[in-house]
Amino acid sequence: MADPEYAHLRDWLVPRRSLLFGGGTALAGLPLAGVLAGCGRGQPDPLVALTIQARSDATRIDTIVQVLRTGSTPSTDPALADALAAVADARRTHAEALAVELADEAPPPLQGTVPNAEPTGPTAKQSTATARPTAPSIEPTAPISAADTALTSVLAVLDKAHQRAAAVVPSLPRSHAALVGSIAACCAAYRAVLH
Amino acid sequence: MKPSPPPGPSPENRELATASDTAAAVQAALGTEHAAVWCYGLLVAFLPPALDRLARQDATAHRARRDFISRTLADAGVPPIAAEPGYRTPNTVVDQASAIHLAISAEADAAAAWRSVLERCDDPALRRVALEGLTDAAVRGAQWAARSETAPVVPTFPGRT
Repeated sequence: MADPEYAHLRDWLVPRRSLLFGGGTALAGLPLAGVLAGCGRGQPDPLVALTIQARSDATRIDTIVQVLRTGSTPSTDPALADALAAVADARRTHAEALAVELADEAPPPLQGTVPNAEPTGPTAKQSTATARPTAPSIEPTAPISAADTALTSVLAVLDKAHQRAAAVVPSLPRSHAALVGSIAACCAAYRAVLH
Repeated sequence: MKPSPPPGPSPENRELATASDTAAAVQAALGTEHAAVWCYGLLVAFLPPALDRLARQDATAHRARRDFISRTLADAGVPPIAAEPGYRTPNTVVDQASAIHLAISAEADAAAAWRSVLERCDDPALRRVALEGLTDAAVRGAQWAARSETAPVVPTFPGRT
């Protein structure tokens, strides 16, 4: 069975085999640039941007939930508010886990800059050098007047979070790839069930 | 891309020790894909027509990934593990609720195995394979959980055990 969408994935065999059996050319296929990019020496660690983004996502979704629960719209959907609150909690937990990883490897550069981060997200853009175009950005001041607007906004937040996390997984050090991969998967899964 | 025969035991095989954890992790993930295909074959009989299509679709996705990984390993000269004749399920499947529970378990196993591959490989292309496996399993697991009473619907860190 042909899997055209997987065709590129066969590439992993080439460096793998040369690493296993190749001798002198063992390094030829290794993604040196990607590995070095993940080391954070002289470059921002992608985890910093992901942490800031996760915190700003949580703040933004908190605001959306608050408007849903207290807004003047009579058709407020409590179940939707609860579902979106769970997403905010997840993003907050993502931020905490990422911050722990960062704290383990270096003096934390986040103190004082992250807790008050505005829910605009532009600071996260430094991590997207290799990212594909992401979902249209949401105006932070956009009025949230209806449940479907709230849902649409959160779906866009999740989509962007998924894309940005997924984009850096291939180049992260092993110790971070699994955590960021789980975060990408979580955002994708929430997006799928809220859709 | 024909695989060259692996060299016999020799000092230069020392590299193999480094990468054998990658091969083992991929084999473990293949094992969970085999198991998922088997589980869906069992549980689909307990689902109403409305969910039957979803189960078949998920089974097809697992089959495609299983076949791809099997071929990929074989091309690399690593014999892919075969499916077991049967699997011990974490719960007895007797109705729709227990069938969905089994689907959630199978997806959780697959998510954990693919996450483990992420921890044990460096190649970007294999990372993408593993991320796809992890993400797809998380999405399918969440979709099944959303159809049951299971909470939480979405684990905060899918695949983390």
